[in-house]
Amino acid sequence: MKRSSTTAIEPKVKRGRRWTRVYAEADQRDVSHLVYGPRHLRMGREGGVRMAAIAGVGTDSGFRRQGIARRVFAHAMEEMHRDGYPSVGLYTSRRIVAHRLYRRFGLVDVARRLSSCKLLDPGRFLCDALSEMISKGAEVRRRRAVLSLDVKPYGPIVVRLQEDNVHRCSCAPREIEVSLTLSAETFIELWGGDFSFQYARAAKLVRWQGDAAVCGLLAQALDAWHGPVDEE
Amino acid sequence: MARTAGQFSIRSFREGDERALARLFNEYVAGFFGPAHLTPAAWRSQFERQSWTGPSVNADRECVRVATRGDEIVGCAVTDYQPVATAKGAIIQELCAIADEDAADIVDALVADAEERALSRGKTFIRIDISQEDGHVGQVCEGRGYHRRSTAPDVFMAAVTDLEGFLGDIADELNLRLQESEFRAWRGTIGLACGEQSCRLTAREGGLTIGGDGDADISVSVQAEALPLLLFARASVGELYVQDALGVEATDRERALGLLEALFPRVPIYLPRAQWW
Repeated sequence: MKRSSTTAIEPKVKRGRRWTRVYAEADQRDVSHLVYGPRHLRMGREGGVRMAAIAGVGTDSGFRRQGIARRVFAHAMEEMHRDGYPSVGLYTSRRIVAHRLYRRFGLVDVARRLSSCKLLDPGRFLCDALSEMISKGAEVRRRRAVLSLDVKPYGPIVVRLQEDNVHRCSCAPREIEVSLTLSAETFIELWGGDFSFQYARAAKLVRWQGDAAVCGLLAQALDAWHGPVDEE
Repeated sequence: MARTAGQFSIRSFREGDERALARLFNEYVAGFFGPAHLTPAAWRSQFERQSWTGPSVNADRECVRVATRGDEIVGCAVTDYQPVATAKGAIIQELCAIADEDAADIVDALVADAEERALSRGKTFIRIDISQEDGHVGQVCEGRGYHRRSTAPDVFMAAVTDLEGFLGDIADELNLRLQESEFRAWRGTIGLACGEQSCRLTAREGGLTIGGDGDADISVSVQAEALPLLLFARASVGELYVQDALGVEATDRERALGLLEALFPRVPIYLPRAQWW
């Protein structure tokens, strides 16, 4: 299919009752968009500030890195200014490539979402989380590797990485191919995508030993869990 | 079923609690930056329908648990037991207590109650997704074996696009800060400049006014990256000054910095998940 020239794409505006949509069309469809609406943020006891709350930022994967999202964002910033908002804000992730775009428009990280997590059923949680984290590691799962996972302070559990899931098992010590030791904080941060497995190893947040081939496959799978996200 | 802990008991949300819960919330977050002022209807509408930011009290009364002392509502926890992002966990997303000597115990009991409920629903973990600049939450997390995600990549980004409009919005608060400070008798003009934006704040007999022009007694220049940090109360004047992100020209610079600290203090942030967008 012949694609329209992206340099000719001009952002459009559609006003709703509460939200305003700014978008760009190409090939007769919406390829990049965001919405913004009014928000009031408390500032002390007497004050509050009007903010244009930006949400739903997205660009079709085939139309990224062509300056379309930048044009949509620039147009939206002009519209928000024209609408009389003295400030703009949005929630995002530093992992998202678009975080750089937002910075170019003067948006600054003013707060980081802090969260704390408690494991109510550590054994099940670790199996479920590890299962998600190695979801991109078909090879290590095919290998049905047996892993000793020592997450402090919960103590070691032995798990088998299988095709469909990670199962807790009771294997003889000689069957354990890899031993992984790390703190619960590190495990949760790895699972939450806060940093990569590669970083955790370099920062010595993880200790591991065992079969080099399995270690390699496991590292590959865990590294694939985290990475810059080319979305928005 | 209600549970009793010390002098208070915990029960699920009941119709008609909104008024007391909105008042409790507004009192609790008064010292924070971020959350909107809630009317009883606004409080209710936050939890009307299940959304990615919050649970529905219509579908699950247990998502709002209320601590009472006699007839008085003294605490509240809002927990999403079916968060959109993960079926295997629960998220505590609002936690308030009345400001008295029982506050820490009330918060602790509400968290313990949410943990029990999450476990009975087969959840493997529970998260607290609210401000840890709030002393009660920080203490509870430490005492109850929570692991803090200190490097979470999720951020709230903001920009100030109209400096004069922004300061106009918070003029009453700025006035209040000035009146409560040791600088209440100060009279003069502060010129605030950041890139192409600039604004005057003038203190007169009648109070502080925003706008106008004329010579400034104190000239403040702020780097573009630092302006949102200063105005959204995320960095103090002192911090920005030592980082060279904020410059001050005045006859008495120390006193000028003190005045600016009084007008733009750093305040803790509290953005409850239900108020995300």
